[in-house]
Amino acid sequence: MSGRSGRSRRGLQLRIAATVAGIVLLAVAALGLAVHQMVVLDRVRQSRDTADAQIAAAVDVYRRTRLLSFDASLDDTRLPAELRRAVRSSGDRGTLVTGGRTRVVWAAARVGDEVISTRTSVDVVDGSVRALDRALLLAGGTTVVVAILLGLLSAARIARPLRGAARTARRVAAGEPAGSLREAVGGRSDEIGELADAVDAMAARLDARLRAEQQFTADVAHDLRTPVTGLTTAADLLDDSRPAVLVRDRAAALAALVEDLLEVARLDRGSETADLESVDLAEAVRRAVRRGVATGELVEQAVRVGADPDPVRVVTDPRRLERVLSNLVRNAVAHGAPPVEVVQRGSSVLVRDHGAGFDETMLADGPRRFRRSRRTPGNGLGLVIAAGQADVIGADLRFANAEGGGALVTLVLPGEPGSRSPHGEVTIS
Amino acid sequence: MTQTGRLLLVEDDPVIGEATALHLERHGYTVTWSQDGLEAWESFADEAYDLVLSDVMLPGMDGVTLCRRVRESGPTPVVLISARSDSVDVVGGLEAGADDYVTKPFDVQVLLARLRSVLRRAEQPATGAESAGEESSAGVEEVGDLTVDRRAMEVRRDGEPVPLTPTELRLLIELIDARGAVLSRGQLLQRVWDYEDWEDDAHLVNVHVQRLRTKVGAELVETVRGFGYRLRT
Repeated sequence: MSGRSGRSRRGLQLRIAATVAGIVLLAVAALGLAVHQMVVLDRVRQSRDTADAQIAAAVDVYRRTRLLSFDASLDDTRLPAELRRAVRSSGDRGTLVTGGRTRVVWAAARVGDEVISTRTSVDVVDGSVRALDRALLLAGGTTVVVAILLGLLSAARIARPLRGAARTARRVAAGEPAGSLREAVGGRSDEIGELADAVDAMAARLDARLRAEQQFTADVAHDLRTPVTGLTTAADLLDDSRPAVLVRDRAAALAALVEDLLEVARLDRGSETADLESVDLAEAVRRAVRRGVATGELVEQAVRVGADPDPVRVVTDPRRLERVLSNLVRNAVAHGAPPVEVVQRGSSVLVRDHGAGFDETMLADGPRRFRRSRRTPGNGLGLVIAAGQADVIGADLRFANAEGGGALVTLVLPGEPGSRSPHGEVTIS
Repeated sequence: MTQTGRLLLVEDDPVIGEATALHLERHGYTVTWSQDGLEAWESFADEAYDLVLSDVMLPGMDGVTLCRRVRESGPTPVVLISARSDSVDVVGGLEAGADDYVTKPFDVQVLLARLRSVLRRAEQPATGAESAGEESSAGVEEVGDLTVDRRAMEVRRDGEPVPLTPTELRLLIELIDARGAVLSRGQLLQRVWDYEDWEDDAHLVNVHVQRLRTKVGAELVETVRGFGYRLRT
């Protein structure tokens, strides 16, 4: 989990920083190139002006003295044809620049039928330009590095509250005390603050709806209790005729359902506390099964109890522990197939049947009220209560399907490290 | 098993009240059923009852107050009927002096068993003495600053009589007979209340121990956390 979210977190920050760096790099590069180009062009223009002045002077000298000055040559064959043509056909002077890195500046003028010209090589990228380029590169590089750092920094300013908000949201989703997202992102009034407020409002609304539903369940169950108690007490007065047995049976079922609902409502309120005692775990398992047999809910032969040879004592709430165990065993007997095995191993208890096992939603989400965990009838409150009571005593309840078929529920009690005896061979009696 | 005894049943719900009365009568009890706490108190003042079985939530006067008044007027045992989720009521009722309680919806067989057990304690509260052997049947023994006379069912502290209910006396005697060994709540429920097992929460034992402590001195009954109680002598 942390690996995946860690990567995606880094992603946002890196992406923002990279974007900032990319934009700055482009801007610096464009600016540098433009400066470089302008300097070069200015150089060429200067060379041209110089060449033009020189050829004008050379023409002057030639007209008066018939001497070539300023390295001018007469009817130079290397003179580009287009300049020669241009000078011959129109005007009396012209310049032309050819070449790449080393430019050749041609200047030509017409003197009668003759053309005199000068040729000057200009190294446009000389030392001073290279020094300029270096300065530009240095400044650009520094800017890019600074931009990356600033990008990372400002991205962190965005990413950090988002990360905090995500942590808070995960805690809210897991049902832990988390506080609000607004607290997690601080007092900012930007889009992140807006998102936090919106998510907080959503969570509050969901919470209110959940509470309303829980309250409704509690109210219904509470209001049902008195008439149902009257019903069961009156039904117990009936004789043992078949219709009376049917009425009594259904009245008892109704009363059990109401009590389960009330227990769920109490667990929902989250105000239940464990009443701790030191308990022999194997004995607690045997007692839960014994009592189930005594009340007629379990058939003795249907359940096999196993335990470590050495007694393991745990500090727990015996009443809640028994509730968890008996609900697990009853569920296995009612919805699984025999044999049902209940095995104490260290500070854990395994309840396994040989039926069809749990379905995928049960394995993924755990028990949910009024959603059947198997393909057989039942309201599913028993396992909801078992999970809720296990939570109260700080135990872990794991639902799985056993190898070779059948549902396997493991109750892991918070054991006392000092008092736990070494695990021995499990004997199934 | 047919029982005898005059019961005052206080239950405001007409169906639960009538059906419970019918059950109790069927098992041989003489039942006076009242639907109002105040009315029940007046009836209790007029007639002699062996046991009061009362709901907690009542019009007129609530069951806890009724229980306290009954306790103040004498040793008549009180059993409360309470909704399971209202453990505050249960503790309040036990602190007010109730001997036992059943939770709604109750199993009629469980109710009858509890009533039998409470009535038996009221009749011969010091049954523990018989199992305790010769020395205690001699009668009077000294425990700390207490003088316990099992045959007279009397406990004195520094010469002053201590008004213990039958349940409290039985609890004290079980602790004395354990001779300083720790008794778990389960064991106490079994020995004092005749429970086969601990079925409900530990309120019953806890509150009775508290009540006993206020009467015989808090230092006498020691709590061994996570295990139970023992007498410190």
